[in-house]
Amino acid sequence: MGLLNPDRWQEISPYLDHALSLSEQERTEWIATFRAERSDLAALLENLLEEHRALAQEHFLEEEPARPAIELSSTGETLGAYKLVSRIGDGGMGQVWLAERIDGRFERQVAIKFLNFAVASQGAAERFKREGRILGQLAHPHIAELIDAGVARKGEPYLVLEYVTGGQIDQYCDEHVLGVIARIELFLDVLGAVAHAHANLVVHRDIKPSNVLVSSKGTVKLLDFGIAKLLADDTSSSAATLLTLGAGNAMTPLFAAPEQVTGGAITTATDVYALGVLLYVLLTGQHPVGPRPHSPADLVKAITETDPALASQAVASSSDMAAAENRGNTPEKLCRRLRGDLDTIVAKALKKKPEERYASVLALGDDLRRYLRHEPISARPDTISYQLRKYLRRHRAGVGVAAALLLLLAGFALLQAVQLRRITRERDRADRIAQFMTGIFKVADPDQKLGNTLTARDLLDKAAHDIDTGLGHDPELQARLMHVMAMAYNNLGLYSRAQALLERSVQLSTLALGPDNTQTVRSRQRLAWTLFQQGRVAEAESQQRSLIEVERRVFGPEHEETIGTMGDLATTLSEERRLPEAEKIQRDVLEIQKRVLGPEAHYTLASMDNLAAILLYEGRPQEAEKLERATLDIQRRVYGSENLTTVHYMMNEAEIKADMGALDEAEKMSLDLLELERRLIGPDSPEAAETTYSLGSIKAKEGKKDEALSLVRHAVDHGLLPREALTLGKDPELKALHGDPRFDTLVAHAKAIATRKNAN
Amino acid sequence: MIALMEAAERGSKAAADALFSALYSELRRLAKCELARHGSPMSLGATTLLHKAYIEIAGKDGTSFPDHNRFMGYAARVMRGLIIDHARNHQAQKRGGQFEITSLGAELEHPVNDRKLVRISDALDELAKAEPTLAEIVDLKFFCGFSFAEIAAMRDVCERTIQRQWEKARIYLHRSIRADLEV
Repeated sequence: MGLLNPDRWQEISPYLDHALSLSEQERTEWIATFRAERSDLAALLENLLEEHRALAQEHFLEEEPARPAIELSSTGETLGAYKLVSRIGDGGMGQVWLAERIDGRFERQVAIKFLNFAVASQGAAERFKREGRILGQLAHPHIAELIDAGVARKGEPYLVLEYVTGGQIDQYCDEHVLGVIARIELFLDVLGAVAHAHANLVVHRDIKPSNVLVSSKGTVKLLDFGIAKLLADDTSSSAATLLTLGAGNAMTPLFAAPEQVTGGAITTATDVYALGVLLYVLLTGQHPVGPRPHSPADLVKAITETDPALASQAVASSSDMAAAENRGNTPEKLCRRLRGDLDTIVAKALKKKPEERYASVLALGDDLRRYLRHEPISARPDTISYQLRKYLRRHRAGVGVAAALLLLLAGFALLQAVQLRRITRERDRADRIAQFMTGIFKVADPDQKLGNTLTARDLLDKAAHDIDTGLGHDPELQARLMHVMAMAYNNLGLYSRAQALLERSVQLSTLALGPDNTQTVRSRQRLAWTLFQQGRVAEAESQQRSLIEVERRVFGPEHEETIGTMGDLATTLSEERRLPEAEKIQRDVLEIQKRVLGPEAHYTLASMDNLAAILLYEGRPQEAEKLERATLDIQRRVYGSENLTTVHYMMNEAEIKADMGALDEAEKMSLDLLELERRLIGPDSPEAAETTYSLGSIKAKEGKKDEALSLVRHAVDHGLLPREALTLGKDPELKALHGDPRFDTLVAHAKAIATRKNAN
Repeated sequence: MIALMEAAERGSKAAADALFSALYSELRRLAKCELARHGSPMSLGATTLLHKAYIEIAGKDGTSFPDHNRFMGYAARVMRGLIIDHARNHQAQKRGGQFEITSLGAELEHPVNDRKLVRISDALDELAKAEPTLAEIVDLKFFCGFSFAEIAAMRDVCERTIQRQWEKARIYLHRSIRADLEV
């Protein structure tokens, strides 16, 4: 007898109920009478009751069904070509097993790491395998190889990894009593591995000593690249960061960056932070959050709010002699060793705000190498302002103005003070800077009235006002500070103030140091650039030409400063639409840079980008596009996609595409770009606003007026630079919107916002 | 959630679907938390999981549910969904080949289990049309592991009645899937 049909069931159901409520004996009696009454149903009923007895005997449906649990793996079990040998660890993410190949192809021991979550859907499993494959391509001598990734039958994802034997890097360093230099050298290997991963768009997310092993031969191996992301991706809630995953024990948030604690965007800067913590631990033997045991709440507060003690101070204030001994030092010597550059380098990597940290792992490594070679470290103010200037040159959008400005001023003062202190005879000067800066920042003191409304601009105004008197008679120092402040004004778009300061700076340093001095020449270079930015192109051009003469004579024709000014001149000329001349100079600059700096150097790429702009103006969009794409390819390969300069080249590439009429491509590229900018710099950044604006202009060209208007409006309300907002009505890109009354309203709205911003 | 439940009881299909998926994700989340804590989610029984879900959901809505038992009835069905999805997924993986990994463990497992579970669930859906009370008892007993006494308390009937209904439902289910099992 097969399935019951519903009618039959309905009919027999009450009798079945009754029969089941009776004892065996009662039931037998009752059945006898029932057989007489309902002969049609009796056979079926008896059949069902027989079935009931059998089911009761075999305890049908009484055992628990398999739960969606992850059953634990066991020795001898095989996964693909591997057989589990023994359990070697039990991390917060899951078990780790030593395994060996059993398909006889070659003998090799591997580690298999099970990840503690079930991959519920087929899609999730596929994504996991895909991600695994990406990670598997990270071939680097200092990265533990990811051999395979898969999902076991039970839905449990696993990774097959190179089996690495070795000790944790901090323990290894202590056991071998490595000194500061040896520790930094070992750390540089770690940086190399992370930089390689970043270039492949993989962020580690969980760098900590237990993930950095050193073999007995002294080879560094990084484990678990990108695995934190595999885990985070699976978790439906995005807030389930390392912290929540680590609720068990293994994944301590001690190495988590502030943005990981607060659920912010995870970028390469997150790894820079964790590397900063690692370096701090290696150098001082202490953790930046301090020696005390912390409650989770305290720890979160320490990570997100408290600035760590300088590495040297941590050593100085510690009563633990072992830390210094393990570094072959006395506490005093170790403290002296760390004070200065190393303090600065570690502090910069540990900044709370991702954008204030080293822009890349490479930059951190460069500074450490400079330190090892006894060269000044990169955070020198001139380099910062030079880079900012380069950045601004082709960025119609600006940088995060106030933050950059404060950083610049404070950084300048601090570094000056630190550098000058090294030379005893300069100590007076260092103290003067310190006093001067303290004086400026005192304004931020509530007692000084301005209180909370104090802006970067206020600070700058006060500094500019004080500088003539505040530094006594030290024209050289005055000139340098004026120079830095002028750059800050430039960033704020306040060119006439910048110009006045630069003119003063040139004047002072010419008098104090002479016309051929580097400082004088640099200030002149900036002065010419400021003139250019104000649209005083003819003046800029004549100054740049005479400056190039000086630079060629003083520094040589292929010196960085000389070709820098030549590049400026090319941009000036292209603005004057003297394009063939501009192109020739830009090509000369590029040729020198390729030879001197190399074809993949930052400034070489910047020149290629500039040349592409000139070609575009010359009406050669195909060539421009080809060059821009080549620039972008190198930039991506060398510096990664998550990089501000890459973003900037992408913006230009999209612009060229739009110009060529490839609106679809431009639109697609702009959307990618926007996503990147939002993640990297923030949704209200001028860059994101700029791209939103470009998208608007693409829509306008496509005749999609409504979308265009709403995008442009969004850009205006979310960080579009005043300069652009003010010229909105005249932008030929938005021509399609002219005559629309809604556009007129928008233009007026943009003007009002820009004016309000400029007034600040 | 309360509103959803009320709407679902008034017969709104959309509300019932929404309620199901809300409970489903809540249970999944809880199971996952358990996993992160103990490494094995079902160190916590399905029953406790349901109670936990109840407390969390009730807490979230600010007020407690008008009826804990009605909630359990719903949640038990959702729990079955969770288990069945897992079983289906198992099967899919076995068929898919892509993720198939030959394992010594495979022989230890009853390959019929997953299929059987899915069949039971389908049969239970059939039964729910004719006798929803019986189906709910199977959800509570078999899929969630409540005891007869607990279910009786929820229903406010005597334990014997629940047992009888359970036995009856079991016969029905066995009938439905027998053909399948004999293959």
